[in-house]
Formats: sequence, structure tokens, C-alpha cells
Amino acid sequence: MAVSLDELFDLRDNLIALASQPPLDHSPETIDRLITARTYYCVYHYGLDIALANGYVVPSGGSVHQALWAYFKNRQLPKYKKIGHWGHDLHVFRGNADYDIHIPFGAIRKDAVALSADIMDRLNQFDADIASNKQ
Amino acid sequence: MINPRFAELVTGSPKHAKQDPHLPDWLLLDEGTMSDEEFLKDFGQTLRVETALAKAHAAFPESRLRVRMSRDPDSGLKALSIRAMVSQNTKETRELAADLAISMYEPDVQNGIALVFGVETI
Repeated sequence: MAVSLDELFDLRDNLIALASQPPLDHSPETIDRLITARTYYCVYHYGLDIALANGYVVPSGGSVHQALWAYFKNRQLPKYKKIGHWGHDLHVFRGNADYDIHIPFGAIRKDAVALSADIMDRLNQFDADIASNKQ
Repeated sequence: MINPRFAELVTGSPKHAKQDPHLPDWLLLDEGTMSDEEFLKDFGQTLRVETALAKAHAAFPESRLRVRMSRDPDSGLKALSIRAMVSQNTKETRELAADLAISMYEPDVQNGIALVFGVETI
């Protein structure tokens, strides 16, 4: 792997630290948008690794993002369906961050980071439950 | 039905819709949503939107709902996001939004437009 998940998260966390004291030539909102986008990709790859380890196959066509979150939306238990819906929600935030540059960004960065924590927590539960069922 | 004229609003003139005094005060239609005529023309599912808004309003009666169209930047797929504007974005509010999303999920939507529910801090 050319870049590890840990490196992705380290970068995201460093950006969050930077946000409290942004360089003079960058607006706080610019940093917030960057954090939001990086947060999404951290969670996407975190979820993808767990899904792949549990039988998910990346489709050959269509959006890999939509497909990953649909995989979780279609789980049997609501607590795991939520991973898919939250992931989709976070993906919309990521789109807002990078593409909807004319809309006010407000507190979206904090909302996105909080949502990412929920998703990862639930992904860990999913992974642990699958592992225990296999044993 | 939330608003007798909602069907007309979402398919009609964006400027007209934006200024319409009959929209409930808890509904905030983002400018981007209402100015994207292609989206409005394609969406054409006012009953589905109305049902979604009614459910969201029932789940978050104290919050304004921000509605906006967005596109998946990678695939171009469209989504209508409905976000409850909350003063405190907590785990409970995020769980509630996900419950709502599950209740409205249609995996076989033919036109590729998804409804996305979430919360956003005011």
C-alpha cells in the first residue's frame, strides 16, 4: 500500500489542529472544507477495508461510493443499515465541501467529523460481530 | 399534504417558489435546489418528496428542514438532502435521522435520485 489508513487519519487530524490556528493566507473555511473532504475519504477507506474483509465485492460499474454505502444499507440489522445511510450523508457533505463552494459552510466540518466518529464506531461493532459469528 | 401548492412549487418557476409565502416556515429550500431547473424537471416525484418532508418534520418538529439538491461528484447521481437544522447536533439526533433514512429507503428507485436525511448544526 502506497499510503496507509493511519497516514490518512494523521493528515486529517493534523488539519483539524491547523484549523484552530489557520495560516494567514488560508481562510478557516478553506481548511474546514479540506477537513470535511479528508474525513470522508478516511471513513470511506475504513469502511471499504471492513466490507472487503467480510465478503463485499467492489462492482465493476457505477459509483464505488454509492455501492459501498448501499452494501451497508442492505444489511439486515438497522444498526448496520445506519452505517450506509450515515456514509451517504457524509458523502453529501464531502460534495458540499469540494463542489458547492458558493454555499455557506457553517458548522458542516464539525458535523462531518462527529458523523465520521459514529460511522467508525458502528463499523467496528459490525466487524467484531461478524468475527464473533465466524468463530 | 404539507402544502397544497408544493407540487406546483417544486416543478414551477424557481423565483416564484423562492418568494412563495405559502411555504411553511419550517421549510428552507436552498437556492441551489430551486434554481436547478434540470433537477426539478427530472425529479417529478412531488408525492415522494412531500412524504419525506412530512416524516422529517414529524421527527424534528422543532427544527427547520434545509432541503437541497446535490450530485454525487463521481457518478453524477442526484440526491435530495433533507437536513434538520439543530442547535445541538448529538448522537441522538444523528441516530434519529438515520432511523428516518431507513424508513424512507427505496433500493430500487429507478431514476437514480436518492433521498438523504441528516442533521446539521444551525
